[in-house]
This record gives sequence, C-alpha cells and structure tokens, in this order.
Amino acid sequence: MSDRVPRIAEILRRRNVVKQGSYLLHLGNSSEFYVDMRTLPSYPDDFDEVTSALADLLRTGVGEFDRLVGIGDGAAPFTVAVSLKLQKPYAIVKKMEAENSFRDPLVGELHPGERVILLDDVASTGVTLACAAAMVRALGAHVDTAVVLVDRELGASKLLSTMGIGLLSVLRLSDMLNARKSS
Amino acid sequence: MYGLETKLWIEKKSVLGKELATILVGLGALRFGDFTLTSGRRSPYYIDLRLLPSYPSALERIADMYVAVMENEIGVSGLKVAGIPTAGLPLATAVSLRARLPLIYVRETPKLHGEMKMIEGVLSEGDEVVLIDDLATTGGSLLKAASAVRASGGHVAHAVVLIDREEGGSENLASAGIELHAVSRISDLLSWLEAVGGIPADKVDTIKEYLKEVRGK
Repeated sequence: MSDRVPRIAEILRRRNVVKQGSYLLHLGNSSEFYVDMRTLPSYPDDFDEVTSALADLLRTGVGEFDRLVGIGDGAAPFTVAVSLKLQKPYAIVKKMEAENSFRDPLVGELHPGERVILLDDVASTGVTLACAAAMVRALGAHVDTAVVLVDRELGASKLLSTMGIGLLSVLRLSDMLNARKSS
Repeated sequence: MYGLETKLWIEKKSVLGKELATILVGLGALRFGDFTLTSGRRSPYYIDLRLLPSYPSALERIADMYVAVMENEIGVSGLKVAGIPTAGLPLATAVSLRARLPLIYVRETPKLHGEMKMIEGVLSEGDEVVLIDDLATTGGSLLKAASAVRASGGHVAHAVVLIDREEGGSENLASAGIELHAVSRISDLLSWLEAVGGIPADKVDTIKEYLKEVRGK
C-alpha cells in the first residue's frame, strides 16, 4: 500500500490530472486545485496500473461485498476496470447534476439486501458520494464503504461518516502535493 | 474469390455469433413479444443488455468479440476507442483494457459550466477513432457521436457494435463515411437461434416478416 502511493502519485502527476487555478466546488466552496481524472483512461498502461491499485485496495480493505456501484459516466471506466479485475458485478448510478435526467437513475441491477461498495475517482466535499449513497439505500442495498482513487480532504470523510460510511482512498491529494514538492 | 484468411475469419465470426447468441439467451437479454423502440417503431424482439454489468465474465468475453472484429476487419494499431454512453461506455472500457487502446468517450450532455466540451479523454487532431456501441438500429446515436468526435478533430471511419439490427444503420453510416461492423447481424443470430429451437414457434413468422420489412427499406 505505502509503496504504491508514490508510484500512483507519479502517474497522476505525469498525466496532469491536478490542475491549478480557482475552481468552484459544491456547497459554495472553492479550491485552488482541480482534479480531473477523465483523461486517465486514454493512457491504457497507466489506467491499468491505477485501476489495479483500486482493485488491490478493495481486495484487502473492505471485506466481502456483492457489487461495485460507480458514480456517473466519469467513474464508469474505473468501475468497469475494477469489476473485470475482481470479477465482481457493477452498476452505475447517475450523478446528481442539473444536466442529467433521472428517468433511469441506475444502469445495471441492484438487489435489496446487497452490500455494495461505492466507487468514484475523486472525493471532494462528499456531496456526490452522499447523494449516491442515499439513492442506493433507497433502492434497498447496504452501503458502509466508499472507495476513491484520490481523497481531496475537503470534508468527504466527515460527511460520509455521519451516514455511517467509511471512506477509503488510494491516496490523498496532500500525498500528491508532497510528492510533487519532494521531487 | 476471398483469400484463405478472409474465409477463416468468416467461419470464426459465425462461431462468435453463435456464442454471442448463447450468452444473450443466458442473460435473458433476448426477448420476444411486442416492443416499442425509442424511435417509436414496434418490434417483435428486444435486446436488453441491462444484466451484462452483473456478469463480468460475459462482459469480458463480449469485449473480446469486439476486439476480434476490430483486429480482423479494421486493424487495431494506432486506434482510439470511443464509448457512447450509456451502454457503449462500459463496452468501450472493456475493449480498451483487453486491447490496450486509449479510451475516450462522448458526453451525453455537454458540460453546463466551462467550455461546451462533448468529448472526454485525450483526443488530438487527426486521431483515428473507432466508435463502440452495443446495438445499431438506424445509426442515429452513432452518427451523433461521430459528429462530436469529428468536431473535436478526430477521424472516424469505423463503428463496431455487438448486433446490427439491420434497420438502415449500416447505410446511414456509410453515407457519412463510416463503415459499420457488427459481431453479428440480427438476421444471422435469429436464424441460428430458430434452427436450434430458441425462438417460440408462434413468434417465428412475425419476426421473419419484421426482418424482411426493415431490411427491405
């Protein structure tokens, strides 16, 4: 786990997923960093390595579960990759965004009583994960764990804990920024 | 006449088509009855891949079928794969992982904030992009995706689907300069299924009529 952090941080840095500027987040917060993971699947080897790290975290850190639930199209490639690596079923819930219609909030199946793990590329304030958790619970499944590649440490962990959900991440944004400084 | 390589591929492809039919039956993805398609047209059969995410081994096998079609009919070197949400994106992801090809995808709706970006991922001027979707009916969503990719500088000459429903998609795409490839045409898939008794006897005639009608257009 600890050996992996610098390696994954190096990939994310090389692929320029952390951008500097002024960005508006949920809840009226703003940040000088923006993490955009959507280009990563365009680099097959790096994408494979990063999703292998996610799969390892799920293998060792969450216990038995029934299904991965990815959040939005952005998380779909990550979710599918991890699903194939672990040979676990997945589903995708639509992201709570003004531009989405909720005619079909779920792609795939979800069975009442299943234990699902939420999966996203990035956790910021946690609002998106919390909405997805509420939706998944409304459909009758159990959620006690969310897994992300990068935790930006902007409150997601705290917000999710109020819902009884633990947040696991491959790395934190501070790990990346520290690695950047030291290199 | 065709060369040996082509003949072997035609044979291999018919085997893949049968395996696909077997997978679809196993998933309960092929249904016979009276359905209304998104276009409003009524169809006596329906392909529903909603259960595929629950069966990773089936998804993997299906991804390999796309890769086989791409290798034999297009050539994969230097290609990028573009997923079309919602159904095409997981398939394109699996294809990109199996063939180690870069993945991009077409947004369902442009971002409201920032630039009106329709493509996610790395796409450069002149990149050769193959579109991936689950089914082709009239080709409408593939054409829309092709426009988005082309508007961002990508070059699109091929689209690959699991099943061509043979309702004009191939022709519509051809007139936009795109060749449609399918693991199986619906007529081949259903006639094999009929031969092994996989279609309810009372539905066979209706389906044949329907296919004749849509293919004749």
